Amino acid sequence: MWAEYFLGVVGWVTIISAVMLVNSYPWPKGIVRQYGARIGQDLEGTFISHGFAIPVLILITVGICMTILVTRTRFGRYVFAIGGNPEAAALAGIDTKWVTMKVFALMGMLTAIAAVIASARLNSATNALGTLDELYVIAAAVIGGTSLAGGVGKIYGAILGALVMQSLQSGMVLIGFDSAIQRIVVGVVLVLAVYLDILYNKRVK
Amino acid sequence: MTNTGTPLVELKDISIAFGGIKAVDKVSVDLYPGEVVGLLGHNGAGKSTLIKCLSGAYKADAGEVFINGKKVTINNPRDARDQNIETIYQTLALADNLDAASNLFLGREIIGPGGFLDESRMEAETRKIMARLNPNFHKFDVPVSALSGGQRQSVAIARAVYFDAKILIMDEPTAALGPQETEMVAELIQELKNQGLGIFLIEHDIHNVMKLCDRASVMKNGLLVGTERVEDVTEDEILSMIILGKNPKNKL
Repeated sequence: MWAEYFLGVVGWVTIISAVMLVNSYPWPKGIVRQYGARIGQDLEGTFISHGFAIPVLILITVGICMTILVTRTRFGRYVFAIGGNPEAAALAGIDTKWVTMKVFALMGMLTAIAAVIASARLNSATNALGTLDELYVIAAAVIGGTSLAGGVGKIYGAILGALVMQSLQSGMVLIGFDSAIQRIVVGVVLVLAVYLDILYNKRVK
Repeated sequence: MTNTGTPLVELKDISIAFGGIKAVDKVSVDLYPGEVVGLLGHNGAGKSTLIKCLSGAYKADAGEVFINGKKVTINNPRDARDQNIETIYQTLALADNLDAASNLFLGREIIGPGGFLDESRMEAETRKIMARLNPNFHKFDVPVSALSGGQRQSVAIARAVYFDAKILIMDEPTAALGPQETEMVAELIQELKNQGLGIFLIEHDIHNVMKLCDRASVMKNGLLVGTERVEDVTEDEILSMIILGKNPKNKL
């Protein structure tokens, strides 16, 4: 029983310290001044903490919802069954076409959320916003352990994969790589991830 | 045993064609409660196709299906299950990436309060049925791809037996099994038969057919050669029906 209490305490301490950490960074002076001018108050020198970025909160919410959907509902079970053996799923009485349709609809919804966040970050949108992002998404999913053959994968894996891909991309921007080279690197990472996926699957079988 | 009363299943003049090939051509078979009917024939004779019309995997182009004397239409596997028809496919039709419990309840998951899957109850039920069918089975938390052929077979059999089937279709249930496991399946068929189930058994091993079946229907090239009670024919006669496609009884 002591282990559960210990884990509970560790969990709470982690959460509270994470909140304290994000709250300890103040807004830059210029932004505080602009904000003060907008609401008509003199906020010179006021400490306004960053807090959690809303996209991160959306990510956590979506991550939790999707995990529940995938692991605890019939729909999620059917998606995995179809991924593993579509014929068996159909013979088990699952309407595979309808489930596939729902998967695509779900993907559309998640893409819409991503598009809202992306355009909100830029405060504008062009018709080319999100071009080639599908490549990053596939790479993120595969790095996160999703099998391209189907039927295997975890939501938190995909989120971790996205973290890796985004770190890679931000890192390359900081180093000052050309965007063409960035894309080459992303492509190489994707190929490598797929190769490892194939290699791993061979080992399992 | 004499067959009186209404048959449990009656397939009448079932035809199904794929492109120009008539896989099954006007075949009629019937099945009575507590009876095992063997379906025999060469590879590609149309046995599996015929049975898939009953299990809902294919839709027959023509013909009628009667269950307990009532005409029914089976358009998909769900309809078949509603009629208490369960099938053990030759390929086993298991989702390899899911564990035994998930496969057993695939398409018929137990839903707990709140609309979520009740995993613990499904696993408990799986343990119960597996303890009866295959007491040596302990791998409940690994995907079925990690199981041996016999274990996978027992999962597939458990799926068919668990849901109170009245009509059981077994497509070569012993193909992947060793002698001991084959014996177990034979015992199970006997037990289910005594419970009053009707069983269609597709089987290549003529000895098993003679041992397990009450009647044997032989098909060749999509046509029904004939249906005979196994007591009335010899193994050789059945073999000649399979190979030559002629019913020796008709000649006499």
